[in-house]
Amino acid sequence: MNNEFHYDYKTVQGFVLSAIFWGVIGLVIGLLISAQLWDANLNFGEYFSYGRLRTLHTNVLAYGLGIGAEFGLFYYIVMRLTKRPLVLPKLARFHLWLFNAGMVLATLSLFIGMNQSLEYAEFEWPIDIAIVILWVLFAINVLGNVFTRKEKNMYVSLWYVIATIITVAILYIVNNLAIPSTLFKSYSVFAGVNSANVEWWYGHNAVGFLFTTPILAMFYYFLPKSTGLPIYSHRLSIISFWSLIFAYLWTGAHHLVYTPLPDWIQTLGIAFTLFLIAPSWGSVVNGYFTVDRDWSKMRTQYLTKFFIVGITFYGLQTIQGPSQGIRVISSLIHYTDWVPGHVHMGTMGWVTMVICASVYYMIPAMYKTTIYSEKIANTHFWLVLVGQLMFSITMWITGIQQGAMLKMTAADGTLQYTFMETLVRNYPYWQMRTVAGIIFVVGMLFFVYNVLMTIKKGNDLAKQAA
Amino acid sequence: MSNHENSIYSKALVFSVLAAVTVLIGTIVTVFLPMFTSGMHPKTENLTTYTALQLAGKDIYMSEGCVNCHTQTVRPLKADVLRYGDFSKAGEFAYDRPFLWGSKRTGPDLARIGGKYPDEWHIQHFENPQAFYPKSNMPKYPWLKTKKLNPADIKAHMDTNGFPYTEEEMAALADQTQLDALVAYMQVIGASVAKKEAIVVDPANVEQANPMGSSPEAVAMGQAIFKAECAGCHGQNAEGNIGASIVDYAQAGNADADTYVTVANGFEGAMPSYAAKLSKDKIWSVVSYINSLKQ
Amino acid sequence: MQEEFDNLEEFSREDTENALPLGWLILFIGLIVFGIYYVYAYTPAFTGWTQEKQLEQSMQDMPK
Repeated sequence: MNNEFHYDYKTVQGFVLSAIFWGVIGLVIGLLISAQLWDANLNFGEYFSYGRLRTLHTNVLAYGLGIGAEFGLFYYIVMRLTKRPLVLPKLARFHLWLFNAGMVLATLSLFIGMNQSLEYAEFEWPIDIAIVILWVLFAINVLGNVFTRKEKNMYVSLWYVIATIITVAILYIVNNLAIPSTLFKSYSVFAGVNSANVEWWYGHNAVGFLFTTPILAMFYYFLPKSTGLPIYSHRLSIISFWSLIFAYLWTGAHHLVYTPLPDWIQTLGIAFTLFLIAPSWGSVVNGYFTVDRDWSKMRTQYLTKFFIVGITFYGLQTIQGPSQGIRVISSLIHYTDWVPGHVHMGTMGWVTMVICASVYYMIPAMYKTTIYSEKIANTHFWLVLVGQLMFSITMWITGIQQGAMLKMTAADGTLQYTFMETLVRNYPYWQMRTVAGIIFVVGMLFFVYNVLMTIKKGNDLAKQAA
Repeated sequence: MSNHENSIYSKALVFSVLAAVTVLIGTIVTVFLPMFTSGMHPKTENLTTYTALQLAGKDIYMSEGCVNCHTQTVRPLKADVLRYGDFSKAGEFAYDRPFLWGSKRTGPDLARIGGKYPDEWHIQHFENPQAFYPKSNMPKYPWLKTKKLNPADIKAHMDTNGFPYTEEEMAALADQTQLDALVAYMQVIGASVAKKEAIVVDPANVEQANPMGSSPEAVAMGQAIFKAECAGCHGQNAEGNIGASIVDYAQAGNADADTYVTVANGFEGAMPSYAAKLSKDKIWSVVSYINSLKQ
Repeated sequence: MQEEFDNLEEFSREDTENALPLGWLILFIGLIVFGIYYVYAYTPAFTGWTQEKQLEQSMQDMPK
C-alpha cells in the first residue's frame, strides 16, 4: 500500500541524535561520580562535587537520553501506526528545539544547585514549566494523530503511548506543585509525611510511565517488525496492559517502608507491588512465546537478542523490585547499594537495550537502507551486557554485605560495626563498578558510531539517487 | 489483533478516558484521599518553625544535593535505633517543604544529628571530613565559609513558608556565611523530640576496675578505636582539638568507671554516646588506651 | 513522494488469538489472593499489627 505523503523523519532523527548527545554526557558524568564514591579527591570544587553531579547524572540520562529517545521513537511509531504524517510537523520541529534548549537550561540549573531535592523531580519551577510545555506539545501531535488516524484499530503500542502521555502529565504536575519564592527557589505545597507520599507516588510511577510503559510500546512494535513474528497473544496483551496501569499507581509507598508514613498505606503499597509481578510477566511471557515460534531468529536476526535479553532483564527487574518491597527484605537492603544495582539493571539492561535496538531498526528503515555494521552492533550488545551484569552484581553483593553489617549486633546487644567500618568494605566493589561502567560506556560508543555511520550511509544513498 | 467492530481499541476517546480513570483509582485512594486526613499533617508538640538562618541552611542542604547520600529518617528497627537514636515520628517534619528523608545511606542518617556534636565539629568536618575519618568519601565543602548569605532572598523564602522572623534576625544574616547557616540547620534537625539513646549506661552497674586491664593488646585495640572514632575531636595523639586533651585527662587520674561512663553516655551537645555503637569490651579497651597515656 | 505503510494486519494475524498461558494465569490469581491476605495481616485496623509494636518486641532483649 502506498500513499502520497511523507513521514516527518527529520524530527524523529533530530530527537535520536539529541538523545545520543545527552546520553553520552550523562554516562561520562556517571563514570566520574562512580569514582568519586571511592576517592573523595575526585570532587573538584563546588560545581563538580558529588552532590551536584549525582543529581545531574540521573536527570540528564532520564530526561535527555530516556525521554529524548522516547519523543523520537514515539513520533515514529505513532506515524506508522496511525498511517499519517504528524498533524503539526512544524510544532514537532519546535518541540525538538525547545527540548534541547530546555535540556541546556536544566543542566545549568542543576550545576548551580537549583535542586528541589525531590528524587527524579529535582528541577526547580522555571524548568518544570518548560517540561510541562514540552509534554503538551508532544501530546498535541501524538493525540492529534491518534484521533485522526487512518487505521481503525489502535495497536497495543498506541495504548501504552496514550497511557504514558496521560499519566506522566498527572504525576509531573501534581508532584511539582510549589509556590515560587524567587526565580531560583520554590517550596512544595506539600509538607512532611504528605510530601513523602506524593513524591514516591510520583517517583515510582515516573519509573513506571517513563521507563516501563514507553519501553513496552517500543517492544510491542519493534519486536514484531524486526522478527516478522506477530505478538503471541492479544488477550495477554490486553490483560497485562490494564492490570499494569491499574496496579502501578498504588505502589509508591514501597519506597517508604519503615518510615513514619501510616502503616496502612505502606501495606497497600507492598501488596500492589507484589501483584505487579503478574502484569509485568504478562509482557515477558508474551515476548518469549512470540519468539518461541522460531528461536533461530536469535541467531539470524541480530536485533532479536536485544529484545529478548532486554525483556528478560525486565522480567528479573520486576521480580527483584517487588521482593525489595517486602518489609523483611526492605529492612536489610533499603538505603544500601543494592538499590542502585536494581535501578541500573533496569536502565542499562532493559531500557537502554530496547531503545538501542529500536533505534537500530528505525534508522535504516527511515533511510531505506541497512545497518552500517551488524558486527559492531553485536560488539555493542556484548559489551553493554557484560558491563551491566558486572555493575548490578557488584552492587547487590556490597549492598547485602553493608546491610547485614549495619544490622549485626555483638553478644552484649551493641552494634558490631561502626558506620565507617561498613563503608570502607564498599570501596573494592565500587572500584569494580567503575570498571563495569567503563565497559558499558565503551559499548555505548560502539552504538553511537554505528548509528552515525548508518545515517551517513543513508545520506550518501539519497545523494546518489538524486 | 482481532477486528472487533466496536472494541474500545478503535475508539480513541473512550480508551483515553478509561486509561485516565484506571490510573486515577490508586492515585485517589493512596495519595489524594489521605491528604485530607489529619494523619498526614501531624505536628510534634515541640516543633518550631525554622529561623532565617536555619532555613537558609536547609536550602543549602538541598542545593548541594546532600539528600543523595544522607537520609533523615530513623526506621523503627533495632539496628537503626541503636545506631542513630529514637525512630522518626511523623510530626517532626511538618515544616519541611518537601520532606528530606532521602533514599540512600552512602553516609549515615542525619535525623538525630542535631545536638550530637558541637558546632565546631561541623565547621571542621565540612572543611575536611577526612580529618575526622581518614577513609571517608564525603566531599570537602571549603567554599561554604567564603560565601555570604543573601538576606533579601532569605526574607522572600521565609515569607513563602510563612515563618515568623524579626528585622534584627534578617539584618544579622548579612554577616553570616553559608557554613554558619548549614551548621545552624544541622543543629536543629530532630530537635523537636527529646534525645533518647537505646542504651544508657547506669554508673551504678559499671565495674570499678577495667576488666580489659592494661595489657598491650587492650591498649592497641583501644588506640585503633580511638584513631577511628575519637581522633577527629581529641587529636591523633590525644592532644586535644575540639574536645579536651586526653593526655591531660589521663594525667588527672580519673577512675576507670568514670571514664567508661563518659565514653558510653557522652555529653549532650558536646560528645556523642557510644554505649550502643561499641561493645563493652571495646569501650573498656579505649579506657585502657587512655590510661596508657598517663606519663 | 510515496510512503510505504506498516501493514497492521501483520500484527493482527489469526495467530495472535492465543489463550492466556495457564501458568501465568495461576500466578496472576495467586498474587491477588496473597495481596488480599497481606493487606489483611499488616493493616493496623484489621489485626492491630504496627511497625512500632514490632520494634518493641525486637527491643525486649536489650541490655539496660
